[in-house]
Amino acid sequence: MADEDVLIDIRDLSLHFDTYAGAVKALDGVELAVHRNETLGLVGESGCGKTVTAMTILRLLASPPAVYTGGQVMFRRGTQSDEIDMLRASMQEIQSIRGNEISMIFQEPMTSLNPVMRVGDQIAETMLRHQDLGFPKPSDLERYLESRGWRLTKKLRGRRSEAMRRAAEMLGRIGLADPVAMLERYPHELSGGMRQRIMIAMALSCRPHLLIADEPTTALDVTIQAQIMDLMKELKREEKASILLITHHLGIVAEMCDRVAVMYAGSVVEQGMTNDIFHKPSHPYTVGLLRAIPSLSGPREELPVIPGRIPDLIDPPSGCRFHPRCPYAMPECAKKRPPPHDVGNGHNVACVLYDGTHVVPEALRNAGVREGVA
Amino acid sequence: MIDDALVQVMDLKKTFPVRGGILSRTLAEVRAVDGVSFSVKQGKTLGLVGESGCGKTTVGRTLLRLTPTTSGRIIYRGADITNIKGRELRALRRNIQIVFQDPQSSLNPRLTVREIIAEPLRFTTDKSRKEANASVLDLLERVGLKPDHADRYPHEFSGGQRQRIGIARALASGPEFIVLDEPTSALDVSVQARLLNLLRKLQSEMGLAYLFISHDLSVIRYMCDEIAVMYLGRIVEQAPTNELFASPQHPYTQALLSAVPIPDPELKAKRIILTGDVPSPVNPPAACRFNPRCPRAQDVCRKVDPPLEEKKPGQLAACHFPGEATKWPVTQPGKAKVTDG
Amino acid sequence: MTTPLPPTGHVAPRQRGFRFLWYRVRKSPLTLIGFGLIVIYLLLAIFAPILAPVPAEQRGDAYAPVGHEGEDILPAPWFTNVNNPVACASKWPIPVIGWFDHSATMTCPFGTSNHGADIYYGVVWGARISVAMGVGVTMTGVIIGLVLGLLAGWYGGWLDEILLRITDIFLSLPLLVLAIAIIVAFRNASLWSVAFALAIVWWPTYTRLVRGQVLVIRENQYIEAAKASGLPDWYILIRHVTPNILSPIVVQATLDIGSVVLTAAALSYIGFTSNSPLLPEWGRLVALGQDYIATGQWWTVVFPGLAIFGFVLGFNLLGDGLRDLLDPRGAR
Repeated sequence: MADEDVLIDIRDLSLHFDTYAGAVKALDGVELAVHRNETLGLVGESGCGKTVTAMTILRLLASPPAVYTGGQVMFRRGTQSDEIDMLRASMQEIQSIRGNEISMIFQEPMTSLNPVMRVGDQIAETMLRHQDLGFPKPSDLERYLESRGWRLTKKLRGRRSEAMRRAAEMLGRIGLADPVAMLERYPHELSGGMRQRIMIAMALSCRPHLLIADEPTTALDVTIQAQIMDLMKELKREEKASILLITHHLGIVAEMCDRVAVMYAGSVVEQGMTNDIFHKPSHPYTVGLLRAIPSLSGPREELPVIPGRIPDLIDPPSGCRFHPRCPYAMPECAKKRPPPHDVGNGHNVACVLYDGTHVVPEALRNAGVREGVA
Repeated sequence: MIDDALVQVMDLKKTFPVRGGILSRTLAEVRAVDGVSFSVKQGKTLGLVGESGCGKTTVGRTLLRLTPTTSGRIIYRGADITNIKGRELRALRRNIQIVFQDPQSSLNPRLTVREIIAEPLRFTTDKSRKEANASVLDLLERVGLKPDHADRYPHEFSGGQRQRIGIARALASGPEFIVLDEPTSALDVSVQARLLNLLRKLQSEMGLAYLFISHDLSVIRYMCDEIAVMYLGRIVEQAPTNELFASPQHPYTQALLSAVPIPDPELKAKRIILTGDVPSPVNPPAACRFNPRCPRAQDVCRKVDPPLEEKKPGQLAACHFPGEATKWPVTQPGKAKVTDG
Repeated sequence: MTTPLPPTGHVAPRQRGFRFLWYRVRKSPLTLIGFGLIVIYLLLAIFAPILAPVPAEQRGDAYAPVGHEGEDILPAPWFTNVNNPVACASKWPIPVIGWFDHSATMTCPFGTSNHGADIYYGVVWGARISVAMGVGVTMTGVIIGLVLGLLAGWYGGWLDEILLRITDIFLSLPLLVLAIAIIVAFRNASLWSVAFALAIVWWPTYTRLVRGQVLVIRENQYIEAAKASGLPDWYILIRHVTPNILSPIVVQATLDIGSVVLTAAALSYIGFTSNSPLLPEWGRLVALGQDYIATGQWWTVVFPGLAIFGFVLGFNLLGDGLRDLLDPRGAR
């Protein structure tokens, strides 16, 4: 992948949180890259640091208690070839990027929308802030709306009309039947699925280069989840945006993502094309995780389990944080955190077994999802 | 009445009034459960699957007599327990128990683990303090916790461990039937695997019958012998697990199954994506409840409510046009989108 | 063949509740100041007979007059005229070495008010009244509020509606007006009538508070679990609900002890208080002394005023500190 293709490049990012109980070492040398026009899935279980990583990209973490102890988050703006380090940029620059070139949607659609503002206003707000919308002639607007069979309401006249027009357009594209009426509604009148769709509309209103989606469908029913996933795929195709999709659900990752990064206890343990991760998982954690999912086909035998528990991040294990639970751990695993090793086709694994001097155990070599059997 | 059934539910209905106004008048009714019948045999697991608003949680609660039924009967070991009170009810509580979904709020943060587990013993059995203590330790071991965990407080444990405590509490009085209300929904994948293994082990060791409520089809498949799919307060399909997954009869089941994302990028199944939202049980549609979203609904579906009947041996479905989607013409093409994955 | 259950891993280290709390109290200087002030007042209240001993013949009144009946002698506090101490009937029991000549006649640390009453004595003995009033009224409010709030929140329905409306009615009446009305209804105003009036004014707040908390706690699944275990309602309320709603009540009660005393002082100031002439209630002291400000005898008002100020400040600081400490989110 050429360098200009890389949109976000996170290099060796480390941070911890100061709490009463001690320093929670949430991120330990995260290395992650999001390319243009791709969907990257960031998977891991609770406490692995995926949400923290995403929020760091937009610098959304309050700085005490979060303390950045190293690394960079490089963002390549627009078509310029220079990069900006999101950790060190000024608040002004960050705010001009948020919602504009990089947007984010969150897990709980119930609380992400302002309950006292109408939907149309909320969508228009982002656009008005970031984009220079001229004064269209009212007659143009009327003609446009009439051509689509929509009535012109009072709200759409005046200065904000261009933003509102685009908002209505956006709502139409996300599959809502009467977008103009929707502009007037309040969030509490809508269902969870609709609210999440509106969040997506808001996030995409300024045509960002990157959409960060933090567990966007976890709080939704399965059939609604399917709708949202379908919508996101379609919009991504049309807008040519990249998506950083954070989730713990491996099924969603398999469906939606081009590449996957697996995180455990604050660092990325494996990264690669989706097919490679599922069919040739290399890190012992990834292998264990895939095996622990009950499948929809295949025999219903006892689920293999990863022994031990997710570590306490105040006092994490030394070296590779997975080593206490790893069936293949060696003495050197406790000494130093292994760097990512390349195993071909852009697939890298942060495990000492792949540094070229070790023999990869057979069980790991044969791991992976077979057709129809997990 | 089925003879070897441990628990049987017959035409269970539960409606909740929607109150409002100054003196809390009843404005409308939510028909959360609208005529549900099933039975669970000893030592077996029945799965109840559906999305939000389908009534599965209400069924579980009503079975436990945590809320009164509006109509219908609940039968346990041949005895009608729908309206029992007082001492009889307390005796029942010994036999039917529940494990809750939320590890955060299902344990009282001010009590120790020992107190939490021993509490049901105090009120449902006559054990002395010493006997109760011994039981607590025995239960902790059964669920994979250590004896020195007994004097700790819930906040010192992880989500998975808290669910184990919840299971120990449910087992304390020695029940035969346990309602599991989404016990692993709030847990990570690897923790979930452990807990599901534990539940299966306990079932085979102690001969427990389970009613397993969940929205997660892969978990349901793993745990259950028979599955009932619920939609808007009714069971729309019921079948043994293998048959349900191999040949689902009801269009909702088909859509549900196809909507589950599969963790295998090569397997791009044809997905049926329903448009529209999950409806609320306040105003259920006329006749077949699924007809507004059903891609193959015809006139009869809007007029006649299909009963839950056997459509294939051992498989029940409430549909006028059950079976493979391709057998029937698509009458409402906008209602469902079929994608290639 | 089943594999044995894997080990469940370590459990978080035991955090001793109090030690943790104390550690955080120490980190907050304002809370400590509040705590310290309260301790001082408690000591004043407990050790009043030692700190400001009353001669046997005047035991009935803790606020011993000096000098001659009918005369307005107002000696200033000792520090304004150290070289020329004025006679004061009250003894300064603990000689401060070097500051007073042991053989010197008694002096008045805070000066005196009308009829020669010693303000120092007023402040010290007034602490007893204030502590008793503050704690007593607040406790009464808490208990009534707890009972009614639990019933209203748990059972809901018409019981809840009725209790809520009654509570609302009481809350809609202005605090002081209601208190005054109740006091006036007692023909012989005394401290008890003030306390009673304040208790009636204060209980609705707790009822609302408790009810709100009960409504939140009720939704927790451990309450349902308790029901599923066959536990009776009364047991669940006492054992499961009440311990979990105590935090905000403790905070509110702490703040209220100060507020009650302030209100009682305000009532005394405007005259709605006990009729007994030498009652050392701080508000009364301020009321009695206010005429003397114009003539330059500031001590008659300032010292009792400072006493009230310090008392309310102490409880406010502690209450605020407790609120921050007991907030579950703050513990992260």
